[in-house]
Amino acid sequence: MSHLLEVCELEQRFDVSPGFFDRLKIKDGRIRYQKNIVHAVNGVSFHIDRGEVLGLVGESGCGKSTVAKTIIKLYDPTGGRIKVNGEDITEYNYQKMVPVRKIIQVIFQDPYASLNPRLKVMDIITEPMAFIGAPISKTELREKGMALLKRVGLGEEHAGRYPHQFSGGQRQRIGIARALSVEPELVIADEPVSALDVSIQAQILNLMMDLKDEFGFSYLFITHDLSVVRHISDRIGVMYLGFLVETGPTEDIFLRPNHPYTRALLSAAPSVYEKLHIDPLAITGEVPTALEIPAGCSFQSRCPFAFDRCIQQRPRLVSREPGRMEACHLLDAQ
Amino acid sequence: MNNELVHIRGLKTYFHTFAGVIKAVDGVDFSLDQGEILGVVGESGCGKSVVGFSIMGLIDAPGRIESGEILFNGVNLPDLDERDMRKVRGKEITMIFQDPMTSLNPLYTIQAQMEEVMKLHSTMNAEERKKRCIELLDDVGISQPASRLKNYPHQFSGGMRQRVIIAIALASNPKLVIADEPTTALDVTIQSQILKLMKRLVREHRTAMMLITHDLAVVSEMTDKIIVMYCGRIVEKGTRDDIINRCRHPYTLGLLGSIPNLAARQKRLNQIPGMVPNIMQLPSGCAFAPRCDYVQEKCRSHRPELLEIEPGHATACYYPVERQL
Repeated sequence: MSHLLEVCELEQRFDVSPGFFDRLKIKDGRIRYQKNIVHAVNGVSFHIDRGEVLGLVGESGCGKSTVAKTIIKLYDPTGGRIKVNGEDITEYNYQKMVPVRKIIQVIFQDPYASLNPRLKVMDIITEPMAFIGAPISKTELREKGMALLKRVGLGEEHAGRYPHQFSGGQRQRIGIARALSVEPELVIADEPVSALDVSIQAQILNLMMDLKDEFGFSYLFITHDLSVVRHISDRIGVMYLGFLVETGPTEDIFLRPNHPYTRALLSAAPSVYEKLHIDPLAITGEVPTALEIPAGCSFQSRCPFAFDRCIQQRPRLVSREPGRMEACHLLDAQ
Repeated sequence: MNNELVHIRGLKTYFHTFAGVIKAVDGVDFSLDQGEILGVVGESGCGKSVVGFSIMGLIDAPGRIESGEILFNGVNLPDLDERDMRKVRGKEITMIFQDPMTSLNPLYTIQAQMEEVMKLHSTMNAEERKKRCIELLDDVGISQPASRLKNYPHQFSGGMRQRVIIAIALASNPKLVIADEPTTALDVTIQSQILKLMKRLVREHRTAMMLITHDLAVVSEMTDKIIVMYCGRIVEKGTRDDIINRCRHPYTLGLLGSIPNLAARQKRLNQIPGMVPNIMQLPSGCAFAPRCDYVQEKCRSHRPELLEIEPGHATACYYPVERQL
């Protein structure tokens, strides 16, 4: 059986070149026409099965949100393929994407910006149901909307209000209700709790997990918060500079991170409780710019173990034990 | 008064808006010794930043310090006029803000911004100042500091800018550094670098620090003492161990339970129900009563005072919880 979502060698580049005259640069006595390309996502492959939660982690600018936006075709991918239930949607236009939107829904990070301020809550929630074109009467829409509102912990009295009358946590609940209204098979959650206070964050995370168990959909959960990812996901993928550097079951990775970057990331995470039982690794420096990606390994500039091969050759994501994959030459050498 | 640096007694900072009086800080008491790191935690709107601004004397109209004392080395800061306060601010007490992108002036070089503090608060000449700038930048881990002095803020990344801001904050050898969410805008690996740096520098210079943040994990790794605030009041204070391992207030317990454990998987998080009440319509009793699992009749009608339950560990709760995490 095909995977619910399969992403192959996904590539996303953005041309951020300035205007024509600014692009002309004189170099070695010649006029050159220079392009600035941001290499946001560079050949990322993964799959998600039914009922599974895949967590995508990484620091800001590593391309994790771009992956999400490309999957739902908010951006057209520059390379690679996206398959939903075995169906290749890479080339689909707006019209053809409509049925796919019923399968994949998104919960966005900022609950203040992702809801239309001019619509009432009931309209916000029922809009996707009307949009996908299923024959449904107005009373039925309303009934379904009310049921959803109740399910996410809001009351009937909230249906006629506008988004600005709600707090951040409540708005995120509205966003969740909207996403679930078309009974999607995959929900992409892009940093859904990072704008919320700790106590509200716990409420939303619990709600999201309960809903998943109840409706049986899958999550692509994008976050920078490692404790959240540990809590919620079955498998995780670690991204760095547009590359996927390590994937595997959450528990395995937290117990035994293989890639040096994963180790550094996990050792950097602050914790109230005991620290992780891993060999800590402190790294220096910062994420380099995505305008020019290095020829070799993306992590070479900060990796304490980098050797010749890391600078010359880009490591591929390969599996060395079942279920786990890493892109690192060091692991070949060992 | 041996090595006590700051002593705050009954601090009340109110904002008089058209909609009514906002009691952002409503009776806060705590003290801070020299060289000590104090964490102030709470959710947004609990008044933790206003405490920091009150100490710095940066409360603008419609805000006002209504009553209370902020004793700094025995001097009551709110009594000082603006001229005297300026001698304290930036010299004795400095501040690190949250957003490294906006707290540096984009029109001046790093050197100019660093030297500003020295020009105002020391008698160094140009050469000495430059030497000190290089020394400071080197101290905060900026490579080739001499070549970066003439750079503008936009030429630095977020983490680097925060390092520069830390360098500026330490330029005058302050006695107290107030850091308001210093790493919230930064990535995890950069955050851990900056936190380690701050801890090292504060210990080396024997500077006291007030770390204001919403992140309990950061506080638990950095501080000696912790204050937990809720709706403008302190609900619990004590040593780091008191708060993290032996907390007694239901709110602290709830906050700790809300954070997913990094080292072990759990099925569900212990959430606190409901949300922070509107600060203008606080309940008459304990502000946390509507959300509290252990609430009793008395909590709804009477407001609990912050009382010491063991030496150094105080909680504002009639029925402190016994449960261990």
